[in-house]
Amino acid sequence: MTRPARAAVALALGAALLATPPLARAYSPEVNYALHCQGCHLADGRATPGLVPPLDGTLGRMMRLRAGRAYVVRLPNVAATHLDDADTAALVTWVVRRFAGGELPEDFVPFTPQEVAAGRRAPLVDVEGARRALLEQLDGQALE
Amino acid sequence: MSPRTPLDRVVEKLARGLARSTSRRSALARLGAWLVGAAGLPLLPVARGHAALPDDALIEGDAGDPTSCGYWRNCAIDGFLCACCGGTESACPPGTEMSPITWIGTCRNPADGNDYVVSYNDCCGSTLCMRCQCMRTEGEKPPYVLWKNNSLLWCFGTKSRAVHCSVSIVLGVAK
Repeated sequence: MTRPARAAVALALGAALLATPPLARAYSPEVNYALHCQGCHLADGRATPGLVPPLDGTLGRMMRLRAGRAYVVRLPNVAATHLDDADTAALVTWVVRRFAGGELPEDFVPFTPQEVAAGRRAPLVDVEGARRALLEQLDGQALE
Repeated sequence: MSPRTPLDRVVEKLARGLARSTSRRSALARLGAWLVGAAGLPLLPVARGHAALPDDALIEGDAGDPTSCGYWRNCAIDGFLCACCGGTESACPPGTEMSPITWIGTCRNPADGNDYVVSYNDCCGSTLCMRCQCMRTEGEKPPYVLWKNNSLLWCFGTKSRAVHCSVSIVLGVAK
């Protein structure tokens, strides 16, 4: 290889590697929960009602509805997390199973990276409104 | 124009010599090689130990001074160390209340080479402690990534919004 060609190849390789985002350390969903969620939702998912919505007792019910699954992956901090789609899917699945208690539907299937990718493209703006609508829908369903 | 000093002459000679003996292209090639090498370093396989959940007391003995900003747990703390304010590195001073809402990151413990998940909780309910002020930012993100930012006042969910000092609580091994 001539010198200029070598220089070009070296530069191109260097630029490509620099452009690649730093590899996120692959942590277990449990550690990712601690790093990305627990600061506000707390270790036991109780959170601080009025300030941060609790996870326990709500998430499992939401999984009964397709809209509930979509809501979870459209939450702003889920959509904006620095984790990739696969790690986010594993994290959300872990969170649902961990905090759903007896409310988890038997036919619950893990979240897919594709599902996360689609949700990320449409993050919720009115989170409280969406949550209220979802819970009303679930309450209505329970009365039927 | 002022006369050239001996230093000017030496530098000029060196610069001309360098220009004669190297080409810009070769410099670019070397720079490229360095970039590839440096970017590739994090990809090298590294054996990561699998330790059990840490025993807090066990960690402290061999890892330095909790009242120092350089203490390994404080790798991303911004505030006054509670260890200097009547508390410890993991407990609030009497009369203050620990904020349940925190920001959480990882720090490497040089004693065992493991990364640990560390929760930075503010102790709230009193005026600023003003002792042992630290500002370290490993893994910290700008304010637009709120949940990873340490400049915020993290007294949320407490009776008082007044921050006194901050603790660094080890939650477990990051793996």
